[in-house]
Amino acid sequence: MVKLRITVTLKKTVEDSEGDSVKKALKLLGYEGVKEVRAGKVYFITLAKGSKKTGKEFCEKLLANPVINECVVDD
Amino acid sequence: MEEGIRVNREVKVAIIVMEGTNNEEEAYQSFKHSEATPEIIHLKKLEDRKKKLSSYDIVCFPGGFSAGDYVRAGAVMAARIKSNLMRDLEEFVESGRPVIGSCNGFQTLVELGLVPNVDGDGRLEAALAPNMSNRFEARTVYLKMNRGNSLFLNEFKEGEVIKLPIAHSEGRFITRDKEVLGKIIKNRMNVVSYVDGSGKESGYPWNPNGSEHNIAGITNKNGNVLGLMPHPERVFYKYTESDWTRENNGTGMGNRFFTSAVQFVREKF
Repeated sequence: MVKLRITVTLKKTVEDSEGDSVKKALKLLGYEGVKEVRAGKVYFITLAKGSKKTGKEFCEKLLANPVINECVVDD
Repeated sequence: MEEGIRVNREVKVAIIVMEGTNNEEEAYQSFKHSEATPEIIHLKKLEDRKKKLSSYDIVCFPGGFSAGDYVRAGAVMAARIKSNLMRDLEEFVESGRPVIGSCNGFQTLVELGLVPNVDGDGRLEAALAPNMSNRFEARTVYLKMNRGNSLFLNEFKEGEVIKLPIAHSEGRFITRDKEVLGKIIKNRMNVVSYVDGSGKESGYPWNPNGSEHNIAGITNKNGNVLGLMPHPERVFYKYTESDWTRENNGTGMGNRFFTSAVQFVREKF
């Protein structure tokens, strides 16, 4: 069994409206020190067999659009 | 009487659906009332080869939330098509026949790489990112028709300003780099733009999602594929427009997208 954690975020160059909304909400809760929030999605995937390379294929074929996303695979 | 045969020619439209699409009925009625013969087809039937794209004259990807908009809007539908239908769809596009995708259908076309496709290699050159407002934007917007060579816009005047409804949370059109955006503009592929009431490109709320260069709709180089975030199929008739009681004459603003495409097929195929 191979367990993968795949994290998909917007590239740094793409404005993250969800992250900005969360930052604003945290500030309204009194956390003035919040400098930046970047939102993203995490996929926890269990494979019967495979490797990190399989996870990278998942990024290319479905999980990320390379125009706006970064996709990081951890095992 | 060759002309007569063409006028009476049946124009078959494939409206492709899967779990979560929800604008197929409006698209069906719009094509039906444009004197075409639409058919709602589940993607699975195409995947199983029970239906073939080559049997149709127009392909329509309707709006909605295919696969629940999970992963990214349009991404799951595009991945399924890429896995075993892409060649069929590419052949359809290469034949010059019309393909339209509105809202979620546009998101699917972008994820497929069919638009903008300025380099012609099918690589992803754009994305429809979450709206800058981080909100679901659902209202009527002003749009300028830049026409270009889009066969769907044959019945519009160059620079005409119309109103269509939008309803989306992921509509911010972003290109891969400045080079792609430059080629889109140079080739006049940005055929539908968000504008204010006077026809000028303006910021939010006129540009509802923060799209680059106010792009609301885009065509491929050949002009036979159109993707747009607004919903022409929802305003085929005047009485489904938001302000129909103020100006209740004439046809709906969305009408001409469909009649242009149907007429194109009758004339060219």
